[in-house]
Amino acid sequence: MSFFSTQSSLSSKDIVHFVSQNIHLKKCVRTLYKENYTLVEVMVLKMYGTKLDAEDVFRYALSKVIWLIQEGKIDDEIELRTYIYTLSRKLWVNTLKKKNNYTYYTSDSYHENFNAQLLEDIPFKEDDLYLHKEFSETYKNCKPLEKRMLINKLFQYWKTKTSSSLPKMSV
Amino acid sequence: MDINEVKDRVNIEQNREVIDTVQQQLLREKLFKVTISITIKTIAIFLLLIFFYLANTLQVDQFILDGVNKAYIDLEGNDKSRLITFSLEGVASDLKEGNYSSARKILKELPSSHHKDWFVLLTHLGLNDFDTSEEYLTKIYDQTDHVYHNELDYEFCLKYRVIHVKSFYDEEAKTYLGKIGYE
Repeated sequence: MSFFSTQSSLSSKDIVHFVSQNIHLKKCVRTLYKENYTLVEVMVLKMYGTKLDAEDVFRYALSKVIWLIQEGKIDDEIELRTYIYTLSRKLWVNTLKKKNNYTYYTSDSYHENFNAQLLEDIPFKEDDLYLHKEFSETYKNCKPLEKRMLINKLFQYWKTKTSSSLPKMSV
Repeated sequence: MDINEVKDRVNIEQNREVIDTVQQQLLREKLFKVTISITIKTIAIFLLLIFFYLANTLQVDQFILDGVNKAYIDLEGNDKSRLITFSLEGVASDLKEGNYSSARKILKELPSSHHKDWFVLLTHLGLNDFDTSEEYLTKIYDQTDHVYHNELDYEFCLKYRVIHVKSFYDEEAKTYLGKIGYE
């Protein structure tokens, strides 16, 4: 496992190992970003998205894949590229469906990095990207708080949000 | 959304923060690479323009004449041998007139000296014998205490290289047979 030699020598297996141990996280993210962003960007641009959409989709997919590794829900048997691509595609297709703007791309669903079966084992909601954007905004507003307090604050916020109709967050 | 999902989403957000940092870092690196690339290209174009300018304006005879004018021959101050000094003056005179073959003949008879090295360099440059002139150029450059060591500055070396490259071009031009078609 030669970590310090070159970027490309960091394999999917190495990344799973390091991220699950919570070491060299930035280095792993850097490798994953460099090796997978273009793939996701091309997919989103092909499916009526913009570069900004591609960035949103990719960042969320990547942060979720890292979280899945941290939680031990991903092992090193399947390439991380497959996870990132599959999750990104699903997120983007769901977003298009929500906008009633989804044109089915048969060719894309047979993409070498797409594996629909993976999604069955991943905790995933139909409007995950939308939820993420909402949550992210709230998280940013609450950010200076200590983690435990932050979680409580966010929980209270989401509880009120689901019971009423989208109240404005005030920290 | 239950408390566990909030916890999970907070962890995902923390990962996203790391991704944002890396993204910014990659963007900075990309900008740096672009800047470096533009700078290198600009310098390359600038050097190329200088080269073309020198290739068009630089005259070998004038360059050698300037070189001769840098020679420090002092008839009064040189107490080694008046004959040698007079011979060197003769070489200088030949070089100024462009009689490089004659200068070479005189130089062959002279004993080794810093002045001789300098004149041999200039003479063989005039004769398009770059092997010999290069040899003396290296000799003068390597000897830091050589009287003419400081004359080999960037300007001299650049002009020397331009003349060298130009000599290839001149040779090619001589063998160009395009004019035969008009005769």
